[in-house]
Amino acid sequence: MREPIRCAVIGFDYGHQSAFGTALRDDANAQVVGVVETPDAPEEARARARDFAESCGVAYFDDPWALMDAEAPEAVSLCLPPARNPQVVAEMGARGVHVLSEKPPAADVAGTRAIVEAVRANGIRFTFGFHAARFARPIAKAIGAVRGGRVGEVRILNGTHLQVKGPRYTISVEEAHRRKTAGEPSVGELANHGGYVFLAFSAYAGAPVRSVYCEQDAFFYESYAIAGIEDLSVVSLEYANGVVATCVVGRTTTKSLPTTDVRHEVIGSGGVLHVNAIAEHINVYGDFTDGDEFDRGGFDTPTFGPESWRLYVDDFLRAIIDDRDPELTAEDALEFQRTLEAAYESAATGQVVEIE
Amino acid sequence: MTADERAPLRVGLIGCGGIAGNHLAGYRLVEEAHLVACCDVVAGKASEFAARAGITDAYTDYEDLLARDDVDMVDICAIDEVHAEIAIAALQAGKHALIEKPFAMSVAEGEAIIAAARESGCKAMCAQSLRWQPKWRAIKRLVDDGRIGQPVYVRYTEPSAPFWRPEQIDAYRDRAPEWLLIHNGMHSFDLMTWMLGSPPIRVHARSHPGQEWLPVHEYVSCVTRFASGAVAHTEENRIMPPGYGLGNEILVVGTTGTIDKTDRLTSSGDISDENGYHLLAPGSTYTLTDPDMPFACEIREFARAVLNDTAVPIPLEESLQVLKGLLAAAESLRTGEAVSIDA
Repeated sequence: MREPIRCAVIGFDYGHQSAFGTALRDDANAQVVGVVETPDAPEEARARARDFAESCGVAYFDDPWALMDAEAPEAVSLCLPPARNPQVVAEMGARGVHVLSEKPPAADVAGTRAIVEAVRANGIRFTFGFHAARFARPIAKAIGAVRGGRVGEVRILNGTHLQVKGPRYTISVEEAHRRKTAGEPSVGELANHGGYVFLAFSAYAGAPVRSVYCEQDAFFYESYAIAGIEDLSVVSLEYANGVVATCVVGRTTTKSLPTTDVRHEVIGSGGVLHVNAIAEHINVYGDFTDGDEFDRGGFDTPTFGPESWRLYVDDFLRAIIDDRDPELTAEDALEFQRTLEAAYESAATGQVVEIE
Repeated sequence: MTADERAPLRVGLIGCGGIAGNHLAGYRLVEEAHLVACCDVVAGKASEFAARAGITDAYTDYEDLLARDDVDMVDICAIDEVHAEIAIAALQAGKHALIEKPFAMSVAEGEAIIAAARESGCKAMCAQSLRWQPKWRAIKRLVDDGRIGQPVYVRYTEPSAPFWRPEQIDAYRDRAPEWLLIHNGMHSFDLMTWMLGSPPIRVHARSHPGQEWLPVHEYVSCVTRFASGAVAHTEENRIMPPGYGLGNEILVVGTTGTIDKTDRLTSSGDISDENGYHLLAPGSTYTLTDPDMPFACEIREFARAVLNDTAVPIPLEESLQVLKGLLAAAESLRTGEAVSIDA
């Protein structure tokens, strides 16, 4: 029997590292051997990293390469600014270290392509953080059903991914002004959540995207308008095999939906498949007050949520053990990034963008 | 003379297939207008319809119907391609015209109908029965009352299994791939324009052919930007697998709330807003409990506009703007590009 895979956890400044790190810590196939946050990260992030290291009973480091030299992990969970990922993945690849990366995997197509090249040149395993696109249990079942031919030839895809967690998870007006003044790049909700739809769609369609059209705007949040980023996008896709897909992705201000409004419709020649996150929850209707904005007590969430992170992390570990690709590959990351950039280009120009 | 004294209007219905049956059911509920004659190029269809309607006068040439002095109004249910020709002839003959959707097949035809109505002093309106469906009216009221703030995203779909069988190929052999879009999209584009209170300004469309033998594409997806800034996703969908029943769904996302009528098995819906999450259960005012069917409502309101000499509920100019959006969508299908819509 194989020894647990020695894993390092790098970066706690943003994203879902606490979830991924915890999933690694709890997985029998993994052993967390060290935790890093860099000195330039906010104190809150370094505190989270120190707390997590303590919960694992391992050392906390300020320098990722010091950790790599000291503990020689076989795999890392990265949660760094996307622009830094290509270089870090290349260096990890050179050391033969497998990488589980938070979303988005890179800042642009060029960076994502560099990741693909580093992964394939060094023979490492790589996956990235749009876990729910393939591992939320209803979606995983739907993908399995579609791949198994349950709906026949896939023709049409429809998707909804509307986050409901409201302004707590958006940038403030002050932060928006600061970013605009500083000229810092900022991404909107399509970059943040589009992968959850695009990567499920690509699994259903079984073909690459060849054409993208997008309408988007900052409809809900003043800070987004100031920063020049979108909070809602409607994206129309056509795949190389003729599948037609349309999705809406955003973060609305609707307070009282029980969970993220995730719906997928797969229309095939022999059947139709629906995934509906809200329908698959147990909803208890009752009084609602403003104070409940982020605490939706009374709603049970049995199907979406933390288990998706665990299944995603477990697939990564098993891919290393079985010497196979994980479900979400570096090539999937490139496909996602190309689709995303085409969507933004389409929204900016008002025209359809073809992907070669 | 009051409306009561003049009522009912005497109506000649032209085109006795398909949707004419729905109109006939509507007339049975309407006091303001009564059928007195019908016409279809197929004599058997005309006589069969006349028998069902309890009338004796059935024609095969609409000119003969228009020549009657005792016909005040025509109800045009013929195939799409002859709507404009018949409507213009009727208006020039001094008849008011209720015209099934799409009321015209081109901007030029639409403008010609508007001009004919203006010159004749007669009233004309495109029949948009969805506007009188109680559930859509309920949602429209919620939107207009500001319950979800400013509507910014709408998705409307009316999925069903294919309508067409291979033995019907002769009826569709010469029809363009975008025929379903034009024929049925007038419903969804009009509903969106009405719901948002704003005209379409840019559209992109994609299609899937569906059944191989059928030239008409059985699925069209349109992403449309409206002047208000809102974006709509509408589908013309006859591509569902056999056995999938006809239904319709709407999702309206506003700046402060969401209206969700996507349970296709009931006519209920639900709404999420600042006051909570509410299930609009069957039996509520949001179900189809109104005894007036939508076709009766549209006929009645058009007839009342004629009798009272007031504005028709759906001005032709508004329908023309909807038609421009549809024609732009058809152009988008042909070119693969997004198409801007002239005001």
